[in-house]
Amino acid sequence: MSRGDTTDVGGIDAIVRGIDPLGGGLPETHGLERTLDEIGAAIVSDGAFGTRAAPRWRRWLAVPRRLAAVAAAVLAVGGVATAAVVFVNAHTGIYPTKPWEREAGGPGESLNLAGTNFRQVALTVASDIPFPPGYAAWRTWLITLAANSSSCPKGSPAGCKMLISTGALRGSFAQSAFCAWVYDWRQATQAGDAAAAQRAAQAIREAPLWKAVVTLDPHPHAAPPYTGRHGPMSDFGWLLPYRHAVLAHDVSAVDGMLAANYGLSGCASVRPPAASKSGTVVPSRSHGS
Amino acid sequence: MRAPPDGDRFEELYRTTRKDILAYLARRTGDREQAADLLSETYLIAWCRLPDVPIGHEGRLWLFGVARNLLLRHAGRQRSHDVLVQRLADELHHAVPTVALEHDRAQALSEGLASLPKREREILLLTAWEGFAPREIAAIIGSSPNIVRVRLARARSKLRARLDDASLTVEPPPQPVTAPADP
Repeated sequence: MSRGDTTDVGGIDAIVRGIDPLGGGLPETHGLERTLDEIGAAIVSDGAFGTRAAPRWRRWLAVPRRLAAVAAAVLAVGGVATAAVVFVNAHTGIYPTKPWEREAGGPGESLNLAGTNFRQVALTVASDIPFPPGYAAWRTWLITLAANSSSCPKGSPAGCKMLISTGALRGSFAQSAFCAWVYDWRQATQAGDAAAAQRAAQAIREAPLWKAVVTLDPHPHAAPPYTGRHGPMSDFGWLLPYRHAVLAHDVSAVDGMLAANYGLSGCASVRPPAASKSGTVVPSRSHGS
Repeated sequence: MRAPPDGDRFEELYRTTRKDILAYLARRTGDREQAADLLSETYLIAWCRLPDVPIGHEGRLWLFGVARNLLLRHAGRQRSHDVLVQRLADELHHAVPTVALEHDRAQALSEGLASLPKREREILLLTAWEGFAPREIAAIIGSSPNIVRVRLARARSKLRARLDDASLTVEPPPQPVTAPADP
């Protein structure tokens, strides 16, 4: 044997191959191939796969409203079918265990969108995110939107559950609340309600420091142009141009951004539609309210 | 903002590599459930980081590198309870027979392999079981081809010596399989 040679003169490789635990490789079986196919499809699908297969939480924030109900930042997990269950807890006790899992699905516990108590839990989770007076319907509408996403996509495994992380949920509330304050500021300004405008401006000033925002985007940034959804921006970077315009009392800039639906998904995606049961898109304002 | 992952590219990558990755994981873990779980995690990472995955054959090596890193970290990790993972584990149980080896030979080989330094053993197994050339192994484990060649030679030499010391006649199969040449 030629020691140090890079060729397998002694046939050691072949000998080692003789104790291959798979006996030479994986066989071609229909069941194996089909299951592998399903796993691949599940990874690619929006419904995602397994507890570590959440689509990026940003989808929840970034999708247009018409799609949000089916493409929220949810993940499908397999489990035992729960037919005829009286109470399903929204709390699952599932948390991301690795940084990239947190990045994929958002931080915090995964909540079951089909949970009997999902609405109450969602309200509690978002209780520290301030909406302007009169905008409670926005919060309610957002919870309804999430709850309506509780059905698993076609082809999901039996017992599938649609989950959303508390971090992603709080992020969507923060997005909605910030937009609500912008609309509130705009209305107050139009109505000449200086006190309300100042209150809204203060909320907008502090928004980048909301815990829900900092958790997901501790260093927000955005680059011009501040129109549309195509300018480079971090997850909550789009708050900054609005904030800058409001603090500069630049009404036309705010109007321009609202008209262009500027932002990761734009404010239009996080407010109730005009025809919804939640009421008007933006509450009417009386002078001096 | 990043463009959405390319589903077609992922599917091609997945379709052409999944069996090899699964075999690699099954061999190393000796645990079908663990292998199925790590397979899903390997490709989930690939999906999330698809823009970072090299094109062509290098992408295959990249996947093996990811799978290897997961193997190194898998001890104590929480298992997935996904139904598809469980089903894949079941399919593996049905599809892969337990390899019956002649006792003395298997024991001598196993002990010989176990006695090798970890990195040398890994290189030898990547050569013998997965059929990788030194250059490819270097890409997977993050080393240089020359170092891999040296360690491979040492591993073979040590294992041969170990078998000789055990006075065990171990003949290679009639058609010896040699290490693939570097492309």
